[in-house]
Amino acid sequence: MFYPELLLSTQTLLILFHYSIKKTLYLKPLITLTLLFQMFLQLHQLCSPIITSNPFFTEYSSIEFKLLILIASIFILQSITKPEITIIILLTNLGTILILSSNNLIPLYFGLELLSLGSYLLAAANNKQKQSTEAGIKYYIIGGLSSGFLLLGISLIYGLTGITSFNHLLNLLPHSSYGIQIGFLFIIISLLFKLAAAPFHTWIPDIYEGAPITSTAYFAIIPKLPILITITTLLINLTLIPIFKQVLIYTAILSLIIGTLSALYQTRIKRLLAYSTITNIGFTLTSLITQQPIPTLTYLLIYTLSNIPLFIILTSIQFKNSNPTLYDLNTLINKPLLAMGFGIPIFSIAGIPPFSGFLGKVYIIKATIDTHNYLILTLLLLTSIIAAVYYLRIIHQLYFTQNKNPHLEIKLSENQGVLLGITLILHILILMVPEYILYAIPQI
Amino acid sequence: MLIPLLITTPLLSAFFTLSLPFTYRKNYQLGFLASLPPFLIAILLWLNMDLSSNTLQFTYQSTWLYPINFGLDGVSILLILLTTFLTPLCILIGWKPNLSYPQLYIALFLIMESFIIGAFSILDLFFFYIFFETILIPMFLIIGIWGSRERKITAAYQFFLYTFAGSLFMFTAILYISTHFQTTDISSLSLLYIPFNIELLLWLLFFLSFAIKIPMFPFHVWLPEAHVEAPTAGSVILAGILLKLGAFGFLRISLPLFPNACFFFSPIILLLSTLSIIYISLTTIRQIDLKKLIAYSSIAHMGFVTAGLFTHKIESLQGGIITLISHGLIASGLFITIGLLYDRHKTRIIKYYRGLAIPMPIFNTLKFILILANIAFPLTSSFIGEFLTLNGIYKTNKFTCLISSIAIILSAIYMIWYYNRIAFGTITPYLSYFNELSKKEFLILLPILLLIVLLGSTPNCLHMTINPFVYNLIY
Repeated sequence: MFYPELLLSTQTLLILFHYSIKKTLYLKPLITLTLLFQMFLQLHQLCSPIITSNPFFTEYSSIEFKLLILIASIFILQSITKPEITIIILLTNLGTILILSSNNLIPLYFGLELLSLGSYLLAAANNKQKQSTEAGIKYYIIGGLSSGFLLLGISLIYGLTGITSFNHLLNLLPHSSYGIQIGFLFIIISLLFKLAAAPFHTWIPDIYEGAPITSTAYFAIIPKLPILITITTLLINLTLIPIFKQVLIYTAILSLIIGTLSALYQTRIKRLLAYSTITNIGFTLTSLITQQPIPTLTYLLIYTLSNIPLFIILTSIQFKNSNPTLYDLNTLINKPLLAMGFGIPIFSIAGIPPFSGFLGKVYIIKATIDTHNYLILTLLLLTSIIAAVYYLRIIHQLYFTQNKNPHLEIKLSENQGVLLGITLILHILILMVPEYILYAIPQI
Repeated sequence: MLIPLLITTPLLSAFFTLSLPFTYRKNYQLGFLASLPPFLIAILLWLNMDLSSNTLQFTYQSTWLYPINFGLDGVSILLILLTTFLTPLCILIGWKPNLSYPQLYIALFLIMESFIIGAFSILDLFFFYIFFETILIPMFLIIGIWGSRERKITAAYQFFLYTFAGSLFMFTAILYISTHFQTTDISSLSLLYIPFNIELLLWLLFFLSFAIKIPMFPFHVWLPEAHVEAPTAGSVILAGILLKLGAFGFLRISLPLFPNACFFFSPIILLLSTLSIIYISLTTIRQIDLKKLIAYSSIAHMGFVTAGLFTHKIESLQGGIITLISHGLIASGLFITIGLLYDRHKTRIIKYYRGLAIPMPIFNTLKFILILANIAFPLTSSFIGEFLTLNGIYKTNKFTCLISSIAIILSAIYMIWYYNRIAFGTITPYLSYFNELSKKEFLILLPILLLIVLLGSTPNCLHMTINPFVYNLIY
């Protein structure tokens, strides 16, 4: 019996204990080492899976995503100076890994709560600024509401059936009553809340904008992966898609439309990225409708991979105010390599071929053609054309005209530079060898 | 094995130039030298082609990533020759001390060259799309970074979005093909039976994308904008090669894969082509901007190409292909001359130029030859193209032929009048100094002119190369 999750939590608690005694954190390399050790353990699991009959967890599930989350968090931690934020991030990591390995509704709830509580704190991390506190409170209220929905759904299901384990629910579902379906509806809506799919999206621009940029980077990269994987497992493993198809179609369509149209005239980078997230969530949901998990997860993985270099560069620029505009990106005009590092992921998200984002788009559009969803197909094409406009506006600021703004300082540490290089190379390589990324998608 | 070499050589030299520290002279020399080997390889390929067989040549199946087929036919080798011939010239044009980001300039042109060669030589729809679409990024950056005025941003956006929107239609068509026929390889697709109504639909989707790229009459709005705002070398690549990519798409994909649909839709193509020839020629007459005038005239010439491709006669197909090649040379030459004027006097409005023949005689002689070539004067390559095209159209539809031949007169009107306004008359009072061509500029223009006249006087070398392809398509 060997629990990587248990080990991660003890490590985190020890670090917390150390911090509360010493009041300073010299342990940055140690933290990195523990996370690396975690990765090693997960890899060990991957190579020789020990399948235990635990009612709450399956250890051998989505290990590749856990690895990605661990890598991303190592590099987010590089740009963080406050020790308490480091500990919060370690705890939220624990939450994400719990979500990914949960095989039961109860640990799913635990993991989600751990993740969300940490996120509220991260949003309010810059306590000297009004906006950040406001973002934290907003996030707290809305997140609390959605967690309430989740708990309501779980209790409905538990009250009606007495079951919380996914394996048992699977046997039960063909004979399900309306009560159970409503329970699942609550669960799915709460998860869509956390994903910021369209009718439940209103919190995301404000929180992206208000939170300090390192926290925004965290929100953009990490929480979406576990939540979308949970939705996928719930919907596809429990064969819920026929029941909730309408819900999914409406959220997907609304996300696509609202995301693209509201991003068109945004000049603030964080808001723009928030709306682009909504559009991309719409993209992933459209392929969920077609009952195919692989396009969804590929798209999400590549989208996350595109977000990493974007936020590395955004965190390294020393902006004057906390709400950087597109025009501030003009400072990169004198650093052509960094501008390229910002431009490649943007083109990749827009889905222009030589970069990996194109692959995700191919999978999604192929899925819609396979299942004859021509209405959604036209919508996807239209939104990707319109979305190209605001991605091009970013490229425009990076290269085309030099405006009169004073130049901002750029501090890029060596580790960040290395990660930037690695992700950019991955962006080109993935299209060349897509088999590997397909291999990395767990068989759900 | 030579084709992958041809594709990767410019790409590698692009990364090489990007990674070197910049010294003005060295980098340009290096970039220029790096762009020469592809041209030599292309010539080697052309000389080694077996002109008697009608199969694809130098076929190569990559076994490294996916099984992708590469191969050349008569048209693609000519277009590759054109590409590899124009890219060194583009790098030479940019050889100016005050150019911003010189390394990026060289690298983008080399990257674009490699992708264009890829698009011309690949035999797989899906990867054709990848190459076709990738070219947008360097071209967008070229227009946006080195464009001359504030309006360049609108132009770059229009260029990108028009082409992107068009190619998404092609994208859906390709994905439809790949799900329903389980392959995207062109040679195996041409053996398959495609139901007629599906063929029509697929043809339309491909048509939208290629018609925007060529561009045909209702989709042409982006082209004059992009041309006017692009730097000289960008205009050369745009007129010389990127427009050909649309026509090449018709030749490579639409005609062999959807022959029935091509036949079905040929009246509407003829209608659009003649409309575009006449309407655009009339628009060209009114232009007051040097570059816009040439841009509009190239749309009119592309009208000849599309009309030639879709009349299903040997003569007109040959004519269309020869017009493609010759227009690539002539329009490039004209854009280079305009670029020379713009570099000297920083204006492109015709009104400010007058009587240039007296202070700049060599320049004007060269320009006059180019202008004669553009109105399809005998002994120039475009005469062969237009004559053959009209010949083919006459055999299918006499009325269309009559209407399109009006355009010959119209083209003479706009080009001669344009030359008249610039070259003759008293010397303009707006300009205070005149510089004759430097040696470098003369050497840039000379090979283009020589080629135009050479191809016009001995068109047999073109005919020999494209004939197997054309006969294969018709019979």
